[in-house]
Amino acid sequence: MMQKPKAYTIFPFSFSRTSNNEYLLVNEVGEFLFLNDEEFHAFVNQRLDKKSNVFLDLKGKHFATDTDVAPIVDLLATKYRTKKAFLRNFTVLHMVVITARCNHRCRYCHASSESEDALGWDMALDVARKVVDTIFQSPSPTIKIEFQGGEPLLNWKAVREIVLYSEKLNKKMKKSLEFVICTNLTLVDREKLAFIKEHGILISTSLDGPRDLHDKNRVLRIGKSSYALFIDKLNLTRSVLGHENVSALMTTSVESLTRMRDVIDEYIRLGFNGMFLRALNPFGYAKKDITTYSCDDFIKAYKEALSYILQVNQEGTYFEEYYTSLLLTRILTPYCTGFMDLQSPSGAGICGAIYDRNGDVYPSDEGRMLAKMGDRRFKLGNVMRDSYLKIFGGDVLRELTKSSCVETMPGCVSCVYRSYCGADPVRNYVESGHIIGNRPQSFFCSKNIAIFDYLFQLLRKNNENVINVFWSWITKKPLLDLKHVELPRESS
Amino acid sequence: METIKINNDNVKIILSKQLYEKSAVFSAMYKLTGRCIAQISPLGEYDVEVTLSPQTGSGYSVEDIKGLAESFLNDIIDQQLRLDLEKQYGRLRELIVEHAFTPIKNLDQRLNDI
Repeated sequence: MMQKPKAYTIFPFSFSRTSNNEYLLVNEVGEFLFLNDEEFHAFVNQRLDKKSNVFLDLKGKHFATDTDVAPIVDLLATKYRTKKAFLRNFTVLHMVVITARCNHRCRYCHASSESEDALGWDMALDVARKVVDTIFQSPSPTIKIEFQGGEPLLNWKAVREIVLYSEKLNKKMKKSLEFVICTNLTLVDREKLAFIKEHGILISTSLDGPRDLHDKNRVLRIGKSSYALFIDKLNLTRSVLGHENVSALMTTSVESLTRMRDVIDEYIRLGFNGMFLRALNPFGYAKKDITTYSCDDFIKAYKEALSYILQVNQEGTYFEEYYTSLLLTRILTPYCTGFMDLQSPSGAGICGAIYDRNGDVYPSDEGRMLAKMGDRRFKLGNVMRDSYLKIFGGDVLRELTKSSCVETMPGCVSCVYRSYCGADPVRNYVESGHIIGNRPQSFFCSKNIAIFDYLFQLLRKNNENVINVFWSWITKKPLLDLKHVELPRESS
Repeated sequence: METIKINNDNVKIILSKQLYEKSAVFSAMYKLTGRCIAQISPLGEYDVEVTLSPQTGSGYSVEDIKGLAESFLNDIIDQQLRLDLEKQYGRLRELIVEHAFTPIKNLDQRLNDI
């Protein structure tokens, strides 16, 4: 019997049933639609009326076409290339562990730091220069060097050396060069700040909330409150560098889970215009702490925090939740976003790499932590002994990259959020003993699915006040500036 | 057609091989890993039997497993539909990805070959 000709061509997409008994459809380039049960089955069975609004929506978002296929393939390929633009330039972010020493002993520290006066834990200057030589072989036209520790300011001479030597090399290389120091700020002084300002270095610091919470999590080794010192040095740093050149990160400890409003209020009180709701990673000291809260606990806290942040924005204060903002940019715009922890293939090594104080190179800080715990399987090489090609073109990174495409990974391949998500093979290895991992038992996967579920519920509700806040984050404009702008809406 | 049988210590589901491919069954079963013990075995020429039972220490009762079995039955339909759709547009997906990174000169011809 002859097969009946198809009414239209269906393009690749993922789907999932939602809690409202609808279907969410997401195509390869991240465009999405909700269909009811009847519409969905009519669509996939080629029974949809081509003049119906549903079909026109599907056609408009490139889920189907009743005209020439080639122009749509061309368009989808262009959009796909845009979404995967992070692959174009190779490694942009280069994190340098300038010392393992730290004057804090934070209860969740995944860096498992050494004491302030310990000997032999700093990066030597010859290693620092060799690190820079390696970094500048990256084909990326943009280079971001991030100083990490321990507390990087404890090895200030190596920070200076890397900045000055990088700038010297860059006179010839002419790359876009950026520096960030991740510091607890307690050791900054006017002399260091003058250098930081002169070289346009950004500061990323840590704030866990109001005094009691910050002091509970972020403990000075000498046993004193770190909060008061932090506030003093934050004020000093801002007075020299300007407000906008200092950002802060918080880590969600078990105590923070029920204190999200207090944390947000503290960030706002101190004049920060956003925060990043981060769960703990199962490394270092945090490995013990993470077992004290479940994914459900974190998601409950995330939803409460997001709800409060939305309210704060609607009341006129621009305040962004950076992870939500990142995911919304992936969902609502055609653009590629950074964030090496959530790329496909994984950004480990190909978007960011970390250089340990002895010159060992790892695809991520988690890989470095594993080595510190005795498992060196993710070590890419050493800048003192190995060529750039051996480090970044070797078997370890090739295996990581080819094994971390969510388009082919079990569980991910049929996930509706695949177009927005990514893989973390080192995390998978820690959680399951294998870089492919096991999605149903993964904290990382459960957390991201729960956040996507929640964001899509909010998008589906299409509440104007909420959607306007989302767009203000994506466009980085205060809500009032968007007042007269016509914003795109998901059709109902 | 599928049948479901609830026993004292497990839930058994019989699936027709004519309706569900091995890949769909395994994808749906994969989602249950860590939550219960999922076993699959052939049952005659045309069926397979899936047995779901509580994992020691999981705290799941057979009643909970019944809930998982119901989700499994919904999920397996979706998994099979994904496979059916993949047969329609899988080649298109490959072309889109290939064209994104290595533009195809004879795109119309390649589409005609699908």
